[in-house]
Amino acid sequence: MEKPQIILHIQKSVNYTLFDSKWIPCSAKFVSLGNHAKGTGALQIYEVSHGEVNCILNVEKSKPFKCGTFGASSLQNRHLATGDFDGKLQIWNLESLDMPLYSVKGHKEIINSIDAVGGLGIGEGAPEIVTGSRDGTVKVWDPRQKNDPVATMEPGEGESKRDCWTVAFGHAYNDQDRCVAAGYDNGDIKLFDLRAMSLRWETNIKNGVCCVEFDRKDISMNKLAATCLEGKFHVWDMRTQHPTKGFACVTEKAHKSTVWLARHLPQNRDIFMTTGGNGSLNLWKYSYPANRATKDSEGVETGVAGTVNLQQNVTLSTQPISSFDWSPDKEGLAVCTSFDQTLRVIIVTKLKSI
Amino acid sequence: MELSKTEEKMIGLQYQMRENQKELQDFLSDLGSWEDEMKHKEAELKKKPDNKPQELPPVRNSLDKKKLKKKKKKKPEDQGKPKRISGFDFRAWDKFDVDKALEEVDKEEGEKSSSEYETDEEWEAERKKHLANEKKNEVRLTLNRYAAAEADCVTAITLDPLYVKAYLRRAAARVGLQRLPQALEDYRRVLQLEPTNKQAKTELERLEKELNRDQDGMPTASSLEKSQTSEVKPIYKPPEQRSKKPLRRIEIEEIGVKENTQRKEAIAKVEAAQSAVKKELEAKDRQMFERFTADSVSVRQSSAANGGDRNDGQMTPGDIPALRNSQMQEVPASQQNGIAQHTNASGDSSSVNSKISSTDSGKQNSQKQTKPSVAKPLSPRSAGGGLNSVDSILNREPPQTSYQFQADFKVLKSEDEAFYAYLKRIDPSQYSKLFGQSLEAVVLLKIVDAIQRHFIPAKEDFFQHLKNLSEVKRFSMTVMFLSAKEKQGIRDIFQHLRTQSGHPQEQVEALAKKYEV
Repeated sequence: MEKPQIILHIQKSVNYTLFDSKWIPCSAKFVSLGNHAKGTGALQIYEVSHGEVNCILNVEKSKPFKCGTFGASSLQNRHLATGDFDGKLQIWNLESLDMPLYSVKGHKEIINSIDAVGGLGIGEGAPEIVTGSRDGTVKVWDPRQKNDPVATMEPGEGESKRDCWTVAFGHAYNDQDRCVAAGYDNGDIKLFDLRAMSLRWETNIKNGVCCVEFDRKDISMNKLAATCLEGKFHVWDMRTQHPTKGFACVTEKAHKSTVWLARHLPQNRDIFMTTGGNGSLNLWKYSYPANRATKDSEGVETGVAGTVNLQQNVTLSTQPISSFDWSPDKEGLAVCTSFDQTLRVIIVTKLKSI
Repeated sequence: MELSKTEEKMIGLQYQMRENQKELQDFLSDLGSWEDEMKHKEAELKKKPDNKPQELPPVRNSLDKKKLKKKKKKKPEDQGKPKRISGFDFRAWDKFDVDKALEEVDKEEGEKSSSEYETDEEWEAERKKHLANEKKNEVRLTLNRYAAAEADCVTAITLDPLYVKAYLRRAAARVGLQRLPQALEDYRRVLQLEPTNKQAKTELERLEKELNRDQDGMPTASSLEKSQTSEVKPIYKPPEQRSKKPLRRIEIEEIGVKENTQRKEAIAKVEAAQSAVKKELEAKDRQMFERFTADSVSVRQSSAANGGDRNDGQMTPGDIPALRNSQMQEVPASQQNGIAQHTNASGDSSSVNSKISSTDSGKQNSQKQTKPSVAKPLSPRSAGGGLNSVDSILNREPPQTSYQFQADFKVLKSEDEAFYAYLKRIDPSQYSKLFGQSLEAVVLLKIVDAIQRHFIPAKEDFFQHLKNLSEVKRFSMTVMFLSAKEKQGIRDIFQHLRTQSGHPQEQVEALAKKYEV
């Protein structure tokens, strides 16, 4: 009775492969990014209006887009940063898409994942974009600095290069502190501390990491969710780091297939959606334990993981859901794209009463 | 009416459906108004003029660079701060405290001089004249490379025998080398040239005291160093800032040799550090000096006292090594015997040398007797037995240390054949180790000579030898001081190398460049 409902509000077929979709902040519009069959990049803007989505802009670029984010731009400008198949990071003004505002060949290979912080009033400090690529490197960019990344995280001499599938910002609660989490195809998760310019923590979850996301970017690290290839996801309590054990973790099976994404609800950080390789959406709620930290036998603080409960489950497609984005302005509104070349606007009700 | 369980469930479901429907309807109507609201908001956002650019933190990792740049810029500004007062600004000049300004100037100088031997601003003017030498010299004194600094001073003095600074420097270098009597002699000369030279006076007094102390068997280092510091910065350096550590080059000691011989050898080694060329120059300089200064008591007396069998008037360049050697031996001798307390601090220039040597003459004479010719007197070992005979050298392992080579060289330099055999046993790659800090011109010329006389007739390859020689530290310095005549020998062997050897022409040319031929 009190269960939230996941309702497919609108769906729209497109003529290209969809990789990413993002709500344009402070609007009822979203952009979709993808790959035309002829190997060019697709960028479209849709507006949700009275039960319909209308394409209001459609441009084609030379290289397919893999991912995009508004996170480093001011609310005023709402510039979109994209990563493409060629390893290029570009920043676009959606008002005039002829030329990118910023363009840099940041990686040798495809940029798999992009995240940004410091814009839109989310996260303290400088606006920064992080990109993770198949070339094994994770680079942090500042739109004010042309050509060169402000930080690069790459495997050392002699270490094998792993395909970086996902990156996420977090811990940006003041001017200096900031962390980047990166997930790799071999199951490695690395947490880089940008203030100390060092690796803060790393772990391996055995299966390729499809997605990592902090529940919030702009607070002191609270939770980190990571999804993986073999139908599982993990949530770490990031508040208490034990010197040897690291962070406390809860693991849950989901989707019976690859868990592609985990996306936290912007309005409530304990609720998140996971998307499955079988075209399903799962809505989860994380419950904290009575005490988030205890002292172990040696008197060192160690974290205690909470529990996750499935709230709702719906299957929308037969193909993996490649992107999912909650509207930052309307609680319960979301857009997702799937490899069946369909984009869907989703409504989730009763989120407040969970 | 009772409801069955299935009916109850159905009703519940229907209710739930309705609820959900209602919820959805609410959401959708809400969504409609939200969409309108968003359009409005967006329009407003677009209308708004650009916000003032926020105070953003600097670009990551650019912070350090920027800070550095700023610091660099600031420094010269600070230095340029003391403004010149205009010549017409009389009020400002009224307020100007001359004494204070002078004091400040002195202070700055005191701070700047990293070497204790830095003299005064006259130096700056003089420096242009002897720029090449001086710069090296200064550096060497600061780096405590006294032997090299001394050699440079010798050259400078030859160029200009009345050049007071060079004497002062050489004296300072000799103090650094612990060759106090020679340093004393230099200071005395300075006083002859410039009777009012304060530095020379004070240093002379100090050194004489020092020598006395030595003879009394008191520890030497501490007083020497302390008085040196106070000498240079007598007023402005508070005691807690003064260097407590003695700045002194520590000689490498060979274990298992008696201390006495060790010391003599160390002296002989330093002595050998001066090439024959330089010695010759020095000899000329002495003659010149005697011409310039009427009073040459110290030189003559000391030489007379040391070498009773010699005639002063017949001083030849070849005599110098012997002369200097005997002078140098006074120090250890007097130290051991603990005599010569008679030396008076007032500075009768000849008293120290003559008295020490006279009381010590028995020993001196015995040493003299073991030195039949000028060729071999420098080898302290030759008196001690057959240790250093030509055969024994050739039978031993090739030299491992610079010191060993020097000792062997003393013996072998007059023996062409033996030196050739000796040279052949040394691995050329050892050269830079063997010749240590500097390759003396004598050694270089001897090797060149050996190549000319023996390598070329024997058709042996000497390219490696030349190449490794050129890699010895300060090689270029040595080559720089070679005379045209001496270079002719090098030119000849390079001529041979160009025509005969199988080495690539570029390599030979590159090497020839190093040899400046």
